[in-house]
Amino acid sequence: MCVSKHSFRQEAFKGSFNPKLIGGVNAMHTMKKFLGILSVLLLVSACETAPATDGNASGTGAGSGAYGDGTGMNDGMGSEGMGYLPGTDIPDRVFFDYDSSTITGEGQDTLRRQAEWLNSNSGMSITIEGHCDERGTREYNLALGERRANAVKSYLTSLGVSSSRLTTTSYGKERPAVVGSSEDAWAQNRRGVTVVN
Amino acid sequence: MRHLILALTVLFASAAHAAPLIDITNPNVKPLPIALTDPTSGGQVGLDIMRVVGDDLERSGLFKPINKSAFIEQIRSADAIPRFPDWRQVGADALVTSSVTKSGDQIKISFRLWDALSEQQIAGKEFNTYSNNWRRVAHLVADEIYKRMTGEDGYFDTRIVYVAESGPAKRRVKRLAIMDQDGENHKFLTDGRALVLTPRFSPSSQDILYMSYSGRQPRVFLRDLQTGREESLGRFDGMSFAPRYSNDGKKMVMSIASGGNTEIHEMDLRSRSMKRLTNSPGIDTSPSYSPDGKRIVFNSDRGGSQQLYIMNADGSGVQRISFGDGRYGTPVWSPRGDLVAFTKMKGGRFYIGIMRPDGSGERTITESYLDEGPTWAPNGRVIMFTRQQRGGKSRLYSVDITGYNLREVLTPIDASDPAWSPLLPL
Amino acid sequence: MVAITQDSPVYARRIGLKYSAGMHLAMILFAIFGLPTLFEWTRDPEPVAFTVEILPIAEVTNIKPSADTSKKPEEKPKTTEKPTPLEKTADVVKPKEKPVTPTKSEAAAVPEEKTNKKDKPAEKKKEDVKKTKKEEEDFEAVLKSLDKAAQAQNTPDVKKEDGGADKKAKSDKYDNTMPLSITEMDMIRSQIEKNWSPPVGARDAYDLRVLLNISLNMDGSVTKVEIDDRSRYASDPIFRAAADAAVRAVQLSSPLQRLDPSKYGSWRELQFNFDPKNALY
Repeated sequence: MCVSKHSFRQEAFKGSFNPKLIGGVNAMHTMKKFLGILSVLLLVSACETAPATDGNASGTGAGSGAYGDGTGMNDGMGSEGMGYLPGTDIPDRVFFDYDSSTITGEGQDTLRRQAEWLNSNSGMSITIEGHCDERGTREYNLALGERRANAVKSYLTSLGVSSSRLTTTSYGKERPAVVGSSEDAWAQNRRGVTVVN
Repeated sequence: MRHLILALTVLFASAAHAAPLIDITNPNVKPLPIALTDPTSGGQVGLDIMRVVGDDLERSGLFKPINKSAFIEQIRSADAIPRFPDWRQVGADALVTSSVTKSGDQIKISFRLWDALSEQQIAGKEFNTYSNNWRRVAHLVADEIYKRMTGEDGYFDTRIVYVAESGPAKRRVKRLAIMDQDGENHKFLTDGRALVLTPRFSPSSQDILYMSYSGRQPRVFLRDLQTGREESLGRFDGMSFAPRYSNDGKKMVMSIASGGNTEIHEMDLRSRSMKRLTNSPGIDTSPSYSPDGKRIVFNSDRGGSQQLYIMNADGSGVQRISFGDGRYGTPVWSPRGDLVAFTKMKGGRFYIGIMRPDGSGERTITESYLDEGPTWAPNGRVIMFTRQQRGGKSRLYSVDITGYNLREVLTPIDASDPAWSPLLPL
Repeated sequence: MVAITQDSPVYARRIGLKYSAGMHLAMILFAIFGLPTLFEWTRDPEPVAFTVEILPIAEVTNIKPSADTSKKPEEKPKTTEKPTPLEKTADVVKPKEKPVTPTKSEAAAVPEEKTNKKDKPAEKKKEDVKKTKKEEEDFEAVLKSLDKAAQAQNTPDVKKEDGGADKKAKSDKYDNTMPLSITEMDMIRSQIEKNWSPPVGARDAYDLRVLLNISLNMDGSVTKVEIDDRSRYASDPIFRAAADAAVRAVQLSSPLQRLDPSKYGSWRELQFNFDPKNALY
């Protein structure tokens, strides 16, 4: 997108506009300032693309066309989650209290089962997603989601799952599991989801 | 002899009857009625310019343009003294005359602002630019009028960068978008394939920082608005987000979340060297520099709940400043330096509020199901923010710091995370 | 012949006479020029008030100071037909202000003024007249112009005495010893407040008090409005906006209604202290 940089020349309005007519000294000051700025302003080139001075664009996302590598789960699309680890009846998620990242008793039960399954399926790597309900500010929720994901990771690690298999990420409040503005909906959105990569 | 007379008159002055002093304390605050006349030349572009001026002034809530059909005098020359009684009769306190002349691909616009009650010209300027820049000239004219009448800098020659939203609530498509503060010249900057959040302008308004999920790890990106070129600021030990520029544009601050802990880091944009500013277990995020660059206000739950803190720009001297009932987030320091705006959460409701940087004088100026993420106009008088309804529909709203003139900012689709540019460089 | 030396009683009597004559002259001069002129200046010796002319709404054509003169006689219906020396002096004072040494800012502006002479000299003149009143125009200048004004009269002495007599008569006529009642002040206040829309939302703790000095005709119309703090008006754009709003409030309220003409002496001069601190924000 091109932001036009065109020249502006502000001139003292010739004719009846007399700077001293306006508030006396101050107007004169302002006039002088404007004339000073005016003299400093140069004719900047019209809209044309100038190369960035330190153009070390990263491997992904360079230029205006490509956004995301489109792979798997981390392109910002999040996971719906079916609720269970694949091919099992083990819940793939634990829930948190409001503004909390503490694993509840129920959560511990779930994570124990997850750990068991993970330990017997050692080839799998997983991503733990942390989520929040909408009743918070955006950036804080990104951080809270990360804290929740990390809490799940810590607990799984403490149960013997190798941490190198576990990646964490946070979606803050951006990917609710349940749409709605009720306590029930919010409770289901405050979650840490174990996603098989 | 002279001094004797002087002494006597002064003496008698104090002894003589003093005029009764009447205190006037209860104002009747109303928008200033102003007549914006059609330019005496310039055709359609002239009419367009004055229309944009009128819309800007009216949108500020401080001016009330008078309906043109009520005008009595026809202004035929922008230089002639108007028939002020005619203008007072239609209720105008102020009057604007103008002329627009075209030559080649350039236009020249000159305007005069008149006080209809004192019957004198009080401002006047002339601008030259390329014809297709007529919108910016209109905003500059509006800023001049605003400044003369209120004493404060205007804010009409500015742009807004924000996140345009669409799609189902569970899988919202978010794209970066940019527009003039009046909604014109709207452009999408990204295509929505990657989730993008919280953009911010550089002080020159030529670049933006934002967070994107475009890579394997969500992180902060920098984008040149002129070239469209985008670059990542680096991969860190964890997710990076909440980016802001420093006031001189040479540094930036952001949060990095790692191992369940989120800290604020500063990066020199030239050298890319990093410095950690906060050091506490818990969440430290949403930093915002003071206009003089010496302090940073930020959001932290180090005390057990989400609150506002201030520290020196080097990370020392951390002090809590929010003490009211409820939780506080998203602090932003006013460009005027006198206030901090924030989101407050209390009793299940969200508020946009302002307080002084020492935490005193807290006031809320909006309330709804979910208001958040204030951003300041460059004159420190107007705040724009996100308002989300139950069910997820988000729009941008603006409000004066007095709490008045709340109005929706029109965007093509749903919107969130607005960031207001400084006054654009000429 | 006795030589008059400093020791002689004759000398002392002469000195005494000189002082006596001087005191009488001072009294007369004060009587003529003292009260209204002082309102043009200030209560304190140093700061100079800044005069904004209000043009009567009915007869606006071109904006010349001389145009104002013709309106003034209406103020004194019971006195002589000719304008009183006070008004004449005021008229004479204004044009004389132009040659007063301009400040630097005006000196710089003068070349611009000269090159752009084409448009509306009348308007310019009015502007100059208003804005060239500076601290240099101190009592010296007034005294000069008073002297000149006296000369300008065809019969200076008679005029002076007439003026003095008129002035005394006027003072007697408009009893200024009865203070305005609370009700009367409230009534004036409510009319002004209705039309007062000050700037709000200024920087925190900003003092936006504006003091205006007002002169009124007996019909309640405002003939003169002065902003008391001229240097702040010139240097502080937010204060200027607040002062402009206060002046507008007075302009829009003119003529003030329901004032008792028989108490004209009490309200012909007023001071308004606009203080928006109670306003929203």
